Amino acid sequence: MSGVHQFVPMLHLGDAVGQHTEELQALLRRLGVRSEIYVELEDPETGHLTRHMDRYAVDAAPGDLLVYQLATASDMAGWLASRQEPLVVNYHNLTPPELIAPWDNGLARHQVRATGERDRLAGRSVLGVAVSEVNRADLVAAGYRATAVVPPIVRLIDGCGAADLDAGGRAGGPPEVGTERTEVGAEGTEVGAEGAARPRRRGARWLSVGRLAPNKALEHAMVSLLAYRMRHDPDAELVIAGRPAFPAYARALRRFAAELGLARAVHFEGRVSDRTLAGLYRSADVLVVVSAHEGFCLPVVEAMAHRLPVVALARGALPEVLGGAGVLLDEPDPLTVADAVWTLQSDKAARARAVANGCDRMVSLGLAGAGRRLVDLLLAARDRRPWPGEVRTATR
Amino acid sequence: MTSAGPTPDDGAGTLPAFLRELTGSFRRLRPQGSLRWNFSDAWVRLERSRARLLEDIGDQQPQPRGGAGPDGGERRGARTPSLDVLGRARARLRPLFETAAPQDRQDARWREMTEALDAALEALRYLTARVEALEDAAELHRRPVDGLDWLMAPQPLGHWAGPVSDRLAGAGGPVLHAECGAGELALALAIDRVVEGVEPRSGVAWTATEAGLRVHPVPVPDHLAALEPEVLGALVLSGVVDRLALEDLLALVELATGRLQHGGVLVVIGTDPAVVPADPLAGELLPGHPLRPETWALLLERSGYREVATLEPPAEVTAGSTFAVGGRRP
Repeated sequence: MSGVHQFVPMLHLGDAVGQHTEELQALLRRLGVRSEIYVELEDPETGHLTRHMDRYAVDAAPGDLLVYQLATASDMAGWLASRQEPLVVNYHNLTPPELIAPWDNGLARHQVRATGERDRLAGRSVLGVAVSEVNRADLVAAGYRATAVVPPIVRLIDGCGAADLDAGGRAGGPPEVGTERTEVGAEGTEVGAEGAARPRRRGARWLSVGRLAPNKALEHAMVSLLAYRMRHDPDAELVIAGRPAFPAYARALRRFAAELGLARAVHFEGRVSDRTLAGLYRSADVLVVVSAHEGFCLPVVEAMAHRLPVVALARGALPEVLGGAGVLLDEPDPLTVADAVWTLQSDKAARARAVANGCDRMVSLGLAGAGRRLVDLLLAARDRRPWPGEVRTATR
Repeated sequence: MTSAGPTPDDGAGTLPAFLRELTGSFRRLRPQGSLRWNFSDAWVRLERSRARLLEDIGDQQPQPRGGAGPDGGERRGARTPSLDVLGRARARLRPLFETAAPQDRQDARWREMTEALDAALEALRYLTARVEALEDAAELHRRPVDGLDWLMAPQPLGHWAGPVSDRLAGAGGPVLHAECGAGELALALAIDRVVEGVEPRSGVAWTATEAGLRVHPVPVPDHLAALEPEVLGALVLSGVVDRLALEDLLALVELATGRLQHGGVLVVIGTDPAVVPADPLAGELLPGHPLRPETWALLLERSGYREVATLEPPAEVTAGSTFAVGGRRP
């Protein structure tokens, strides 16, 4: 019996690609389609969910469709290229090596290799599925003949579940401006990440979510925070939630914060649980995204779901994902970022508008139907049926 | 260099320039590279070019390794991609070799060339690893001076404007005050000169910037190192000279001397060591102790400066709090 099997170099819990892969498998199985997840390297946390790719030679059945979840370099790419089964590349974006090189030569070279693998798979794939139009442009440039855009399948953290997605996210309506958004713990303290208490805040709380990686350009957020504190609110702070994916970059950020005199105003929370992250979204005043490159940026969606306004830089997929909600800036000028945040903090109408637009945008992004759309595409590929209308084809 | 003067918030004015430079200063914390060059960028370009070359050669007729057979199982006996690439490269480059060597030497020449290229690339990889190890080691042993900057408030030095201005008489070219603190002295000197400041404490630098001074928000040694040789008419050093260990002070003076024009003036405004123990925080945290004026005079003389003298303190200076020593570069 033919199946739709996924290949991913490693399956990580709590990582967007890992979550997407797991959800896709669940959807396929629910429809009675055989679906396994094959990996090149086993993650001890997910070993029970995966099989080594060598095992596929035994499992293979006529009529199988293979799906490659591409977000990094892997020997798996060459191996898949050599197979005869139809292949779909589900592309989650690659960070440009130039952004990584000054911080980690090894990883930068890895990205160079991944880019080559992505491009070489173009001729071998029946379809390239990108999570955003920006990513689709990469695929088209690489020579993929049939492409489609389907957002990642996400399981939003507590507080912004499927009910929000389906109901338009406005059931509760935007919060009153000035409403205390902070989870208050013991008297005079707040509950920080992983339950740690820190002094109760007086100023605005900026939030940044995502791994500490050079493409996030968190140094821009810090200088913008400095400008905000000098101009508008000397007690403002920045909370950064995300694992330090590049140790050298993370060390530099801490040192930079100290040099800016922000050692006590910038909080590095590290990797946090879903529950803690939900608390951070609730207690923050604004999500600030000044990344130099983003392939999708799930935190923007999570922020909109938590009715948290977003100030973002127009880079990568951010204009597409934000889609007119929040505040989109052309340049990472610190004064402009600071003034944009201040507008959201001081202008009730502007804040309410940003929150309402975010709720609308969550619905129009089509996240709730993403899984079903992707499954439809994959089954069309497996069964060699005509493509649905959303697939664009190019002639070579 | 540009002078003090533009209003803080005009489009291309001091504050935006300050913020751009402040953000850009983060680059100096990169472990691989510096403000002016980056080893890794060059390395990535090299790897990418090589990958494209191999891809270009290899894509003529792809022969994947271990492909699936008709039954879905592994296909045996396919050539490895690397051998395939070499074969195709040989075929493509053969015309070049035909003109360069006799037929029986062509294959040997090709092997020699590819081996040389691979060896060069491998050597670069080893060099990269070595550079990374050295940079990591340097990072580990770096003194925590810069990290402590923000703890200490700068001393206002505006009252030194008279004596320092007199000492700068005859010095042509731009003046740099490092560290300039909130900019009182630099702004006073800027009345009839082109003056810029260096101040690593960003909050303090912000204040100076908003007052209209062009400020570079980076550590003093970093800024001096980035300047061209012999561009300064005069350099006023303060703040940083109170914190550095002796070996770093010697390096700083050498660096400063190289940035001064011939005939340029160096003025050091220091804190009298006698007053330092009164500040227990500084006493505990400072890696170096301030030098006495006599020591500074000796240091400047030994560094080749002429007309070395202690400046007459202005009336506002509390006895023993700060002093200034100046000299002229020959």
